[in-house]
Amino acid sequence: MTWDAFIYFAIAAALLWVAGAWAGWRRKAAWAYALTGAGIGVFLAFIIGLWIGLERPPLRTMGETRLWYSLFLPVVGLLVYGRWRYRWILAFSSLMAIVFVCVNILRPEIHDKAMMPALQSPWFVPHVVVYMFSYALFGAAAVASVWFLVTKKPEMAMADRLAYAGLAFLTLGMLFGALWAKQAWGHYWGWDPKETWAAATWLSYLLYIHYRLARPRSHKPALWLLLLGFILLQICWWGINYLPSAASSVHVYAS
Amino acid sequence: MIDWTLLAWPVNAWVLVAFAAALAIMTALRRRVRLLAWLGGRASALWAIGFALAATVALGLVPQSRSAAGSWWQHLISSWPFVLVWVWLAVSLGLATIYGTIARVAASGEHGNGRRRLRTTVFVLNHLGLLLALVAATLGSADMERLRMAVGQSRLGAEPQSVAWDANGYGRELDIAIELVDFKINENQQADVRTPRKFKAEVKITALSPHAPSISEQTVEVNRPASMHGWKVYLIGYEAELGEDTRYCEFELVRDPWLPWVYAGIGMMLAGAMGLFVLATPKKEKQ
Repeated sequence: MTWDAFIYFAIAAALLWVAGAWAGWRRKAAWAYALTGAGIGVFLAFIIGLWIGLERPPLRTMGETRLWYSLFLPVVGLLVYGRWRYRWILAFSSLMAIVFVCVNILRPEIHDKAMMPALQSPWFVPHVVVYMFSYALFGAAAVASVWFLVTKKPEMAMADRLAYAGLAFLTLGMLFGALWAKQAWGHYWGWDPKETWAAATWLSYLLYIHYRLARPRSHKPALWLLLLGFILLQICWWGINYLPSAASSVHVYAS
Repeated sequence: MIDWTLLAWPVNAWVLVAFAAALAIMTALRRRVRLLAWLGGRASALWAIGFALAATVALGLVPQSRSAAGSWWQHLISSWPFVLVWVWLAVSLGLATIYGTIARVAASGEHGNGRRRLRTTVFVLNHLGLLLALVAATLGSADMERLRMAVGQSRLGAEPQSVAWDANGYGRELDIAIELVDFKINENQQADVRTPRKFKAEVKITALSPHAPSISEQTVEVNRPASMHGWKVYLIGYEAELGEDTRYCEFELVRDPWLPWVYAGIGMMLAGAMGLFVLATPKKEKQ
């Protein structure tokens, strides 16, 4: 399978996700599970097809990592829905997933088939997949914190759980990256711009967790910290491509 | 600006001993000196993480110089503000690890249960793991050696090579010699673009130490370094225009004696991150 087939899978998955979000809003839990789950299945089928078609995991370009992000957002939305039954969460997670699907349709960064030697490693898949899962959790945390700031009815237990789970996966992704870097580049940490911004992102969520422990009743600054973390995460993910300080990054593969 | 080479063995070992002794003394005096209790508490942790975050963002925004030349803000990692933030972070983290572990162990002795014990374990894994990785990585950086060596193909008549060059262009005679037995490229043919997919060097590494002479034949690829006597040997280049007929391969040789300690810290943090996820997942009976 190639990117040519993406639009059909994307439309089918998006329709299922919208229908699932609608069912969630109307409090029809069984339909919400079934439809959102079916959308995830359709989207995953495309990723697997693309994987087979490319003869390598689709994890290398920005377009390919966006695919995983679009996949994990509804997964996280469904997990949060299953636990807390927020009627709005599926609408938000589906909307964000569809935004990323649209970005992929409008700006497909599709590249050559061969994978450069530095990326041919068993660390590649766990490193990127774990990161994308944590990005999806933090995306849900950011959406939730905006909602809480607007409605002024914060549910900090939910924000905390998303932040803890996100930080757990962010840490795994960073450490997998360090172990891989030792194998590929000779050192586990080189203050490459991508690594620097990854460290900044990691520290910001670490700050959130410690702020929550130190000032448990002060909710508003904590929610702003979640948004700060999400902004740093965006800089780390794609924003550094536009920073002069990152011109020499060894993490830029897609140019 | 800090000259990290001043920390080279055995200075870094003494710094480590002094750091550990300082933590022990501060722990002993923490009930008498309020500042010492504060340094290991959550408020200090917030400030230390906040400053570390600001410093890291600055590092990400300001273009850094790769050579020794340039102003202090082009070498932020080695500047005094950064080092002071780092020291605060390390002291705060070290004291928090000790105070937190003592408090948690004492509390779980009184009314321990599974979840509480898991919390204590995850706390220790995350904090001690990060402390170990940070301290070992920083102190050990002065002992890390990164050298380059060009080795000619032996089938073209080249001899094994045992001299490697550091970043300043100084040559060094090593305790190992590398012979390049063979070099192969697996090319991936695609339309008219030929891009090298994988290249690998067959090497024979001989330990030159008279006490334990040994020979090992290994394959070096990108992502797969060879190892011998504490050295890791990375394949970093060849003469691209000559392909398999390249006259030599360029290797990078890395020795990092503190690596096992950094890995121990990373291992603890990996386990701690999994524990963090377990603690984040909802517990059914709490509903």
